[in-house]
Amino acid sequence: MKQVRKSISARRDPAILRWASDDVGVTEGLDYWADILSSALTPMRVRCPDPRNFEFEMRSAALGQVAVAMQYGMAHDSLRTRHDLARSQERGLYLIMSLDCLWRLDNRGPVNLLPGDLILCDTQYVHEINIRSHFNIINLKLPVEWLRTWSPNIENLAGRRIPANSRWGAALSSFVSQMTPEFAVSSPLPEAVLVDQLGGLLALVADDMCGTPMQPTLAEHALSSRIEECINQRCTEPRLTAAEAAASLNVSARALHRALSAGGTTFARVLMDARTRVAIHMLASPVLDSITTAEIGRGAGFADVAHFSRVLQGRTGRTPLQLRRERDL
Amino acid sequence: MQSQTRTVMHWSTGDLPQGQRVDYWADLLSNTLAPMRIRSFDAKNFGADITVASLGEVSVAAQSGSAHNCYSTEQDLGRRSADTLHLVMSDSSWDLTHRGNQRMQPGDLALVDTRNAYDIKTLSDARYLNVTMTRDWVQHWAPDLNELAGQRVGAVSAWGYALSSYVRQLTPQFIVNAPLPDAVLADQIGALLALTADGMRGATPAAPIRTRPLRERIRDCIAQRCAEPELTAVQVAASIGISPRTLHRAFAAFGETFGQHLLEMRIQVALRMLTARSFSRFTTAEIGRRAGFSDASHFARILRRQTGRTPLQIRREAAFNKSGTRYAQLPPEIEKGEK
Repeated sequence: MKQVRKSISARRDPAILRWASDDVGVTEGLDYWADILSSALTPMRVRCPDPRNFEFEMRSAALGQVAVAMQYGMAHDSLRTRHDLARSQERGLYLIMSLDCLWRLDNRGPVNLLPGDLILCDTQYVHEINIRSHFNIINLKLPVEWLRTWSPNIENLAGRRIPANSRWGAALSSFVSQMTPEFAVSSPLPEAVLVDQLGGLLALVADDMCGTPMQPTLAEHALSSRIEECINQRCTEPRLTAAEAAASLNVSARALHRALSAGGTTFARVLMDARTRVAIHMLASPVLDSITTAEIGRGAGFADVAHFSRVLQGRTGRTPLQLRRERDL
Repeated sequence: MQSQTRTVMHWSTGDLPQGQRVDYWADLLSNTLAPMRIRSFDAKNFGADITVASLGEVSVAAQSGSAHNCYSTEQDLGRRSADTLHLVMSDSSWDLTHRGNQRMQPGDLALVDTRNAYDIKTLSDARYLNVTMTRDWVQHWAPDLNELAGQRVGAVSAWGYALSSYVRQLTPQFIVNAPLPDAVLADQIGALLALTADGMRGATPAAPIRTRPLRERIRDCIAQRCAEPELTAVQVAASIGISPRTLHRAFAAFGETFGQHLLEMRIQVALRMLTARSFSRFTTAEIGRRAGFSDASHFARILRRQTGRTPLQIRREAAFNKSGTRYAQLPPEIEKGEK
């Protein structure tokens, strides 16, 4: 009750900007959405299955130098092509997190994202976003110079999935889930403190994902667990290869295979295990009940339905549908 | 029994005769954490160990050991040498009696205030993470945490959950090789505690950002934008919606200038990078550039004037304090269930 009152009074706050399809009517909604995205964020186009019937709302406020936006809307795709790239001047970095939908971002290779997962989208590359259902998304625009004082290598972070259930990813995800426009205009702490908290958490995540190597002996000792962690993080990329995983850890593909085989396993097996875990997690989530099991398989990084079903049956003895039904027993 | 490096300490009951272990453990925890008594359910097979890493005003202890009950009366706590508060988390379920009773689940976080009696009980082998904070430090962040003590922090608000997720990762093993300076890691706890306390009250905050004093708002903005090499007073004034004249007047009232504040903020950012492991591969010149200094010699000169040291000296000292040999001396974690 308390929360409802707060958000209603906050919505009237003049420091929060609001755009919505009800300003123009649902038939014009999609064009309006494209205009808002292109002017408030960065030039891009949008398309959706039913362009004459598109609803959205976006609220935005400044948390110091970070622009905080909360976006709600219906299934659609947004694309930023080479042509759009030429139309925009400054580089923008967006930290994006969905609260409730599966979605896909291709910024530096296709990545499937689950609710709570985060990704840093870099406008110096093209992108394509596919959202298949209603969505609530938090979108934070981060200043480039500022981020460079926290994360040594933004390129390593951009376009990569930051899983909500990874170590520092969990801390970042729970922090960002509170970064609403309403919070931005009523925060009890100075803006600079909050913005630095975000910077600190991003630095910890960046170090987790592709940090500088630790001391050699420890690094060798820990290589196979680092590989597994990396595969866990990137397993929803449908085209993930051993060479790519090795490159993101600054080791050769040979070193990767050697480390895994020393532990009695293979890249393919670790990858399938990781994808299976993600799929089981999704099948167990009531939030995702409206999504088909085929879509979940794709979301977890499996290339086709038959393969997904086969792998899951091989590992759990049950089909995706059986796994989902068992949850309700 | 004790191996010590600059910031990590480790103790274990392993070398002691069984009869002395419980008493030793009680003394040890009383000295490193807060006065307490220990009751073991199986004193003949008791074993425990603790690793402590310091972040300055905040320190983090990881304990693992046999099932036991530790408690402290208000009388015991009268003898405490330091006035502290503790964030406690375990990988098992446990019972906390501290201004009420709570059943804690694995991964739950609780705040214990050593002004009041407490009683912690685990019925199985368990690992604990204990963040010790001085009251002065906590009060600087969150003046009133009365309502939070004894609660399940993760359950009280979404910010409490964010604090729990953060503390869960902050093990001594992580701290010894953390990519960020100690103060940055500690401040996260302080800020999240403040947000948690605020979220619990659910009321409108006392001082929303826009009503804070002008000078603070300007400083806040400079702190966030100082890494932009061409930053001017005009830009800062524009981004908070005041005229450049108003900005200069706000500083002049305190006998200060925009330039002084800008330099001070850039130096803070540069110091943070110089003392962070994640930036150890960059040259000091590159760090100066990222902090907003246009050339390296200017950066070195300013830093020296303000801190009395060169960028390289600062970096060397930080590296020395976080000496690389500590990893080798760090004891292997006791596996749960091992005695």
